Amino acid sequence: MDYESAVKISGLVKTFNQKEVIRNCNMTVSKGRVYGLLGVNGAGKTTIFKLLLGLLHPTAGHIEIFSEDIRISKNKILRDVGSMIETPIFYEHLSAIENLEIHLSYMGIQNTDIQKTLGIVGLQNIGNQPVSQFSLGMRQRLGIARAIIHHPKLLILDEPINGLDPVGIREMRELFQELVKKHDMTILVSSHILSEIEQISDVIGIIVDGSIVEEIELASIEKDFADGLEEYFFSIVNGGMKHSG
Amino acid sequence: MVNLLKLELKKTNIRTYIISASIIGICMLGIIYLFAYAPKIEPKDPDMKMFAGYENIIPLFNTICMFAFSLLSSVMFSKIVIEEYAGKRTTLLFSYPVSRRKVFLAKIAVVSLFVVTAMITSCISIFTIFGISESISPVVDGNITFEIINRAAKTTFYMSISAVSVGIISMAIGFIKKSIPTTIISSVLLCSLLSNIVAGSISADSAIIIFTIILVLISVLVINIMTRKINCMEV
Repeated sequence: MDYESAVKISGLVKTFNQKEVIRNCNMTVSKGRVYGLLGVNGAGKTTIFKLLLGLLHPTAGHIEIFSEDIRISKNKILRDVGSMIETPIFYEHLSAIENLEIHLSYMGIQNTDIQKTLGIVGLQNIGNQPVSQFSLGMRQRLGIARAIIHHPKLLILDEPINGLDPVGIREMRELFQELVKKHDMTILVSSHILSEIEQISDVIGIIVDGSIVEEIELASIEKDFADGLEEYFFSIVNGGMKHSG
Repeated sequence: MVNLLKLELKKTNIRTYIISASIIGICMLGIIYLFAYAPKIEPKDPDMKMFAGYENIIPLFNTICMFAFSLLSSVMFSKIVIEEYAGKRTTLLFSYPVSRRKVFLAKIAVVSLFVVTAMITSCISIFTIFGISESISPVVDGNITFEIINRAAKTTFYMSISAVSVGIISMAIGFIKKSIPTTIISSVLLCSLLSNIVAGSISADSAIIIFTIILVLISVLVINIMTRKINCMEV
């Protein structure tokens, strides 16, 4: 089945202090699918996400999101993107509702049911307590609420289940699947919890030393590797050597 | 732009700054009475002549006021600008489909408007209280004429603009290091230097106008440089 691409990266290079952090990276994320980006710490996952959001400028190469060049149509693209990069940051003295109101104002969106979105991420009945009093898990849920409240077409989530308890992880997994199915969203997610990526992703991209070395349907991994994604991942990052640990 | 200004106000805990401005106002009220009483404490001291008469007290008072409100503006710029662009919050701010330049200018506008309004309101209140008490029980020799009131109004206006400008220049210095302490220390040093210059040349209207214009021009220049830096900032 052919899918139209939501994100297309070609020949992407990003250098910091003359060191190539992203090297000739190519990546394609199809519309309406969940793309799991896997890589060891420091492989370049967050850097790629930041480049997609225009937070970093590419040294070379092209990034297209919904067929628009990020360098030319950044603001147009950002209207259709929801994101959560690293630890979500909030206005600590304000409540969850006020934080979301500010977010919606910046996004230029009105008349959105904030309570409904808070309910979706399991933050109903939190009242007006300031975000500074939130637990790590509540902050993570609020970060996800902020990423989805403006109904983006593309959702970029960097380690979204960090700090969530098993119930929260399960709820978020179901939420991501619902967002793709019912709201036609495309999700680009990174995590170092392989089992989680295995359960939510349709396509896996493996990044090694700043370059995507494999993009593969999860179904075909399951077919060829009896032990699933973990065996496949280690076979790639260890250069074909099966992980012995 | 109006929407961005409202958003900045919503994001900022403005109550803290209203309380700070009120405290400054109360301290300044004490300062003006201290200046008024100074010649009476040491009547023979020739240095106390600088506090003799309203025409000397008011410009001196305005200079001290500028010093205090410059510090307030540098603290506000630190919290609202430096903290936002130095920390992780930039990731959030830059992922919005809004012009970085407009957001930055909205922050500058919010602080500037607040400081100018706070300083003018404080000075009007202080002059009113001082004026009423002077008409009942005068401490200072001489009469409060229309000319003195007019000069007080003009000096207050120019000094409030100067206070904001000093805050902006300190913010630019702090922005280089992305440091809040650098911003506040720069403001203290700038104010100490400028207060001495202003206090020495304040008797002439043209001096204060030229002083304000120079500060405003420097502020505009540094805002331009900062806008360019923010536009190409990577986070």
